[in-house]
Amino acid sequence: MKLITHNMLESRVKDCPDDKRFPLGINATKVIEQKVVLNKQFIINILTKIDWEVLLEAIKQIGYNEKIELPLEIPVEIEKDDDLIMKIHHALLEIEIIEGELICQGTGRKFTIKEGIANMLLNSEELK
Amino acid sequence: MNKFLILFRWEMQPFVIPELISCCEMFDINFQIENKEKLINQGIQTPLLWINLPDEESAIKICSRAILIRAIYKIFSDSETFETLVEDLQKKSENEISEMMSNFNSYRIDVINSGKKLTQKHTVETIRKLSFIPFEANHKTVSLKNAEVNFVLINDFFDPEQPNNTSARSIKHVYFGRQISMGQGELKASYSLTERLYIGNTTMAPQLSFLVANQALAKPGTLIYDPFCGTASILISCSHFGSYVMGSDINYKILHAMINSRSKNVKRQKINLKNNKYTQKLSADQIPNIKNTFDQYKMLDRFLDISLVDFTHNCWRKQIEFDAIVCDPPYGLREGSKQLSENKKNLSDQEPTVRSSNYFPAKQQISIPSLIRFLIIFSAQHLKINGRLVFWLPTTSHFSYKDLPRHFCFEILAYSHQNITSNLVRRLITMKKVLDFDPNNSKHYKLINDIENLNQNQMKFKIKTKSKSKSKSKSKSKSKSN
Ligand SMILES: C[S@@+](CC[C@H](N)C(=O)[O-])C[C@H]1O[C@@H](n2cnc3c(N)ncnc32)[C@H](O)[C@@H]1O
Repeated sequence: MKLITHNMLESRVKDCPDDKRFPLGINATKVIEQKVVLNKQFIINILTKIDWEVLLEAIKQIGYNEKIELPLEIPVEIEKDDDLIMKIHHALLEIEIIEGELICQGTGRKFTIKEGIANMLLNSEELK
Repeated sequence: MNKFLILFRWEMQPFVIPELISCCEMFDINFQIENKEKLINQGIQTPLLWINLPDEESAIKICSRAILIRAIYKIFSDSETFETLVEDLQKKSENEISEMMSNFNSYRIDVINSGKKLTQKHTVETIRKLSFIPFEANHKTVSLKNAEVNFVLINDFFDPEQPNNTSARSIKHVYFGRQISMGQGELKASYSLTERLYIGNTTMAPQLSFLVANQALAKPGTLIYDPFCGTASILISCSHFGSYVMGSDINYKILHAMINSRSKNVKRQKINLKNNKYTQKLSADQIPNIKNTFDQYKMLDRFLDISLVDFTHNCWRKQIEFDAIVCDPPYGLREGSKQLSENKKNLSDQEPTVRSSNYFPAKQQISIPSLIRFLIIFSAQHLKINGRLVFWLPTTSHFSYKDLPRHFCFEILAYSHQNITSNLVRRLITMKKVLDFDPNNSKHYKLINDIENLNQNQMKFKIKTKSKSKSKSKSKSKSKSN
C-alpha cells in the first residue's frame, strides 16, 4: 500500500465516531521503494485532494521523516519547484508498505497489510 | 481538412464508432464523418469509412490508440471498378503524380480484399496491372520487407445483404492509396492471456479490455480505478496507455493469487508458463500474481495499489476523485456478486496470521440493479468532471436505449453491444460526468429511471437461479466470442 492510497482511505467501522474515521494510523513492519514514472501535472492536481498534514504524519509513522523532508505547508508556487514535486511524488507513489497494519483511530480496529495489499474488509457486526 | 479512408476490423462492429470518437477526443482532434448521427446510432454498415481530419499527424495519433482500426489510408483514386480506377489513375496530372511520389525511396503494393477471399494469383495479377504507375521513372524501388511506404489497392466486396455468402458478393468499390498508419490490433497478441503470468477465470480478453481503456480515455497522468478489479485485466490495458491504476476487489484469494487452479484457464496458463521465457528468470518468491504481471509487461511504474474492499461498503474518502472508473461488475455470470453479509454470522473474527488460514468474511449476494445504482452514484461522487464511467452490462436482445441507467450527473456516450448467445447481449456502457454531485440534492442519490423495474426480459441477470453447469457454458461461449 502506498501513501497516496493511505491518504484516500478512511475507516468505515460502525462504532467509529465520524471525526475519527480519517486518517488511519499506520504500523509498518516492511517498507520498500518502487520506482514510479513521474507526471508533474498529476502531482500538482492530486495535491488539491491530498491531506498534507496526514501525509507528513504518515511519513513519520513509517520512519521516513529523515529521508524525505517536506515543508509544513504546500508552497503556493509549487509548480515552479521541481525538486519538491519530485519529493512529493516519491512520498506519495514510490514508498510502499508491504507488511503492517492500518489502525482505526476511533475503535482501534486493525486492518492488515499483507503482500502490499490492505485488507479493508469488515466483519458483519462492524457494518453500518 | 484532408480526406482519409479508414479500414476497420469487422468483428466488433458496434464498438467501432464509439472507439473512433474516443480516440479523436483523446487528442482533441476535430473530425468530420458523413451521417455521423446515423453512424453513432446504427453503427457502420461496411468496414470502410471516409473521414476528414486536419492532417496526417491526426490519423497517426488515432491509429496509435484504436484497436478496431486496421489502418488509415490517403486515397489517390477510387472508382466503381478496377478498370475505371486504372483509367482515372492514368489521367492524373503531373502535380498529382509528384505528390504521390513524394518523400520515400522504397515502396510496396498490397492488395486488400474486404469482404471476400481472392487467390494469391489474383493479387499478383492486380499488382501487375498497376505497373503503369511511374514508380521506376521516379527512382522508387520495391522493398517487400522494409518498404518506407505501403501503397494499397482495396477491393471492397462488402455486402451487408449477403452476410454469410461471401462468394456471391461482387465488387462494390475500388480504392488506390497510401497507408498512413496501422491501428493497434496487434495488442491482442502482445497481451495474450496464454502468455500472461497471472490470470483467473474472470480475466477479460485483451481486445475487450483495451476497448474499455479507450472508452475511459486512459493516458499518462490519469488515475483510473476498477472497484471489481479481480485479476486486473482491465487495469493492465489502461496502464498500457500510460494511466496510473488502482484496483480493489472483495475476493482475498484472487488478490493474493490463491485462486483455484482447477479452472481450465489457469491450468492452461500453467502449462504455458513452463515454456515461458519470462518465468524462467523468476526467482522463487516471484509467483504469478497481479503485481508481477504488471512487472511482466514493464508497467510496474504505473501500478499504484490493489486493496481488499467490499465496494458496497467501500472506504474511499469523500474528497477522492478519479479520472475514470472502469469495471466488469459481478453479475453472477462468472463470479457471483457478493456483499459482506449483515445478518449472517461471520466465519471468523480473526485476522489471518498465516497465509493458509485466511480471513473470509461472510458474503451475501446483492441484486444487480442495486449494484449498478451503487456504482453510478459512487461514480457521480468520485469522478472528476468530464471523467468517464465505463462498465459492462449483460442484457437480453430486448434491452433498448430507454432501459439504460440514467443519472443527473451523467450523459450516456455509448452502449455498444456484443452478442454472446442468442439472447444474451453484453453491452459496454460509457458515461461521462457532466455535472458535479450535489450532496444536498436527494435526486443525486437516485437514478432517473428505476432500473429495479427492469426484469429478466431486458437484463439477463441470473443470480441465484442458475445452476453451476449452466454458468460454465456461459463463460465458455463468452471466451469463444472474444
Ligand atoms: C466479473 S469479475 C471482474 C474480473 C476482472 N475484470 C478481472 O480481470 O479478473 C467481478 C469481480 O467482482 C468481485 N466482487 C464481487 N462482489 C464484490 C464486492 N461487493 N465488492 C468488490 N468486489 C466484488 C469478484 O470477486 C470478481 O473478482
